[in-house]
Parts: sequence; structure tokens; C-alpha cells
Amino acid sequence: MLCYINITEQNNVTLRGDDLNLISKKDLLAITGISYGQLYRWKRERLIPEEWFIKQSAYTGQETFFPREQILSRVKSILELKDKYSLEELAKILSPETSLTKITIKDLYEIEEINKGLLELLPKIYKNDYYDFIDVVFIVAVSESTTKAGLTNQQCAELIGYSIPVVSKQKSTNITCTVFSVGEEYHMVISPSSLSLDFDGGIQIIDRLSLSEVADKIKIKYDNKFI
Amino acid sequence: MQDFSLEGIGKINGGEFRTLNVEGVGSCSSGVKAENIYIEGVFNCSGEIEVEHLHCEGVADFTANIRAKRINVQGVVSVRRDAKIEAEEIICEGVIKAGGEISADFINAEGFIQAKEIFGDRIRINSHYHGKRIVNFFKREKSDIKLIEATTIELSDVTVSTVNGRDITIGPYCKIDHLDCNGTLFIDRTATVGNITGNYTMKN
Repeated sequence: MLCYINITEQNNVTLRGDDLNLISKKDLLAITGISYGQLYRWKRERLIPEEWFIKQSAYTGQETFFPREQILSRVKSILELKDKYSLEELAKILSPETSLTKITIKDLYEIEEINKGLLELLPKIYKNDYYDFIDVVFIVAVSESTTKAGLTNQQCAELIGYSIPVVSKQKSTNITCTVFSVGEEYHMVISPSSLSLDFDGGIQIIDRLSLSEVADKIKIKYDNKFI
Repeated sequence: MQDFSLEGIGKINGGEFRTLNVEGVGSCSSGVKAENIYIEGVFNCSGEIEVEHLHCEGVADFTANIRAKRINVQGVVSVRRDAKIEAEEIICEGVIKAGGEISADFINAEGFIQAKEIFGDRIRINSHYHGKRIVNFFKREKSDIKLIEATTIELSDVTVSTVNGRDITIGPYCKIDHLDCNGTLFIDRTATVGNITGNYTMKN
């Protein structure tokens, strides 16, 4: 298997912009209808991570781009929630830092995004009594994705079993999990969201899971558990 | 939290204060968190500043980020290297020099700003008026900025490489290389503007 890594240094693009599926600041403002003032206020309030502002040379000197899916999802979340929560509360909800709350397997049954058949297999592959927030986000992301892709609960549980020791060590949800198959086997690459991975033709990409998007969704929906 | 006053020559190691007053020559070797910082003398700080209200009538030199609700500059504030200034509101009747970015909802400057980048909602910089005492003292200074991006921008006698905004007023003696506007645009006849892009309505 060959895997090529494109590295984006913080705020400084060193690779082709289209590799990361970027959106320019101007297009972002036009599509979402937000103003420069709102964008920079949200950046100051840490609602939009600084590393999402990627600067590239342009004929006008410099232009700023963002990871398209992440920024569009984030702006949508902020616009939906800004009347319900203060900016300070929103920053807490949308922070890439993982929540310190730990929950039990019993609590996991209340999270409807997780396939219940998978939950029965979880204690066999993950022996801890408590699940960290990052574990929950990861299980939700894999459960949703693999169900959509037609994997069995057993295959999904095996995939979680291989990957969860690596994911559990992450302190931030700014990571992307790339699920792929080689023959009959399913595996995963866990990488910072700023990395773009290219695989050779023998690899079939099943899905790319942005944990920050899932984390936003889970924190908002189950705020009594994680905020 | 306590009030602390630096009168004469002194040095502090940073810390948390309700009000930090610098009336002499003071320096600080690490971060300061305070409700108010008043500088009437000379203050050098190498740590990060987190403050509700920063008021400088003297000369202040910072080498790390400043995060404030309100900043009022009637003297000279320098922020070196790539350190940032973040605030809800900045009022400047003196001089601000920033190596990094300045980001604020509202900036109203009747003085001089030299910065790499300025971002915000409403930005008004008028460096043409020389009536103020402190501005007269620094009148050889020039407002020179690489990039300004804001919803509403109003400039007079300012040199900027790139200006991006919705409603933009380019006043007398401005020199702009690139301008992108997606609302209303006014350009004074004494201003020089190079390349203009965007979907805008020209105001007379």
C-alpha cells in the first residue's frame, strides 16, 4: 500500500489548495451571508480555530482559504446556535479540546447515533469501564459511517478495536479518520485534519470522518452529558 | 485581587491584579491578568496580557499577545514580533505599532497605526488630522498597513497594500494597491487606488 501525505503547515499552505478541498474567504462570506466582522469576532472568541485560516499567495498579495467542509459546517452550527447560547458557551461547545466527561456503556445506549448491535460487542473489544468524550465521538462516527457503507456489526467492532487505542490518545477532535479496505479487510488511518492523504489504486476509500464535525453535533445534542 | 502601582523604577514578575498602574518606568517578565492597566509612564512587558481595559497615555512595549475588552491609546503602544492585539474596541489617539495582527469589532483611530493586518467589523483610521498634541509629536509617523479586512472601512491618509470590505470609504491622501469591495465604495479624488475588484456600487 502506498500512502502519500500532503502537509499543510499552520496558516501557510505548502501544497495544492484543491487537495484539501479549500474554500476562499470571499466565497465563504458570499455562500453563508456572514460579514467580515462576524468571521473575525468568531475567530477571536475561538469559535473558529486559527489553524483553519490558511494563507496562500495571490496576485493581491495574500488570500485566506479554509477547509471547505469543516468551515461550512462550523458556520452553520454557529448561526443555528448563536441565539440559544452566549459566545462563551458556544466556544466551549465547539472547542476542539475534548470534554473531560467520562461516561459508562449504559450512557452510550442513550446516544441514538450508535448502532445498538455494535454496543453489545463493544465491551469485548474495549475493556475500560468508562468512555472518554473522544471515544464516544469516534464510536458515533464509525457507527454512522460503517452502517451507511454496509459493514456488519462485527466488522465495525473489529475496526474500532484496531483504532480506538490510537484515537483515545488524541487531545483534540481536529482529526480525520480515513476508513479504507484492502481486499476483505477494513482499516483506518488517523491523521490531523490539516493532512491530506492520497492512496494508491489498490486501496478503496470507504469514508473520511471528520471527528470535529461529529463532536460539535454530539456536544450540542447531548449537552447535559458533555458540557 | 489587589491594586498595584509602579511609581519610579520597578520590575514585576507578572500576576493577577485588579488595577495595575504604571506611573514611572516599569517592566514585567511574564503574563499579566487584570481588570485595568493604566500606563502613564514607560512599561515593557514580555508576557501575555489579558485585561478588561488597557489605557496607555505613556509608552508601552509588548512582546506577547494582548487580549482586552477595550484598549485606549493616547500614547504609543508597540507590539513586537508576530504578537497579536485582540479586543472588542480599540480607540487610538496616539500610535499603535503591531508586528502581527490587530483584531477588534470596532477600531477608531485618530492617530497612526502601523500593522501587518487589521481585521474587524467597523474600522476607521484617520491619520490626516494633526490637531492632537501627541499626534503632533509623532507627526512624521505614517499609517502603513499590509491588509485591512472589515465589514465597514473608513480611511484617511493611510497607506495600505490590500483593503477588503463591504462598505468602504477611501478618504483624502490614501494610497491603496488592491481593493476588493462588495457593497458601497467611495474614493476621494486625492486618493490613489490601484486595482479594484468586487461587486460594488460607487458613491459620489
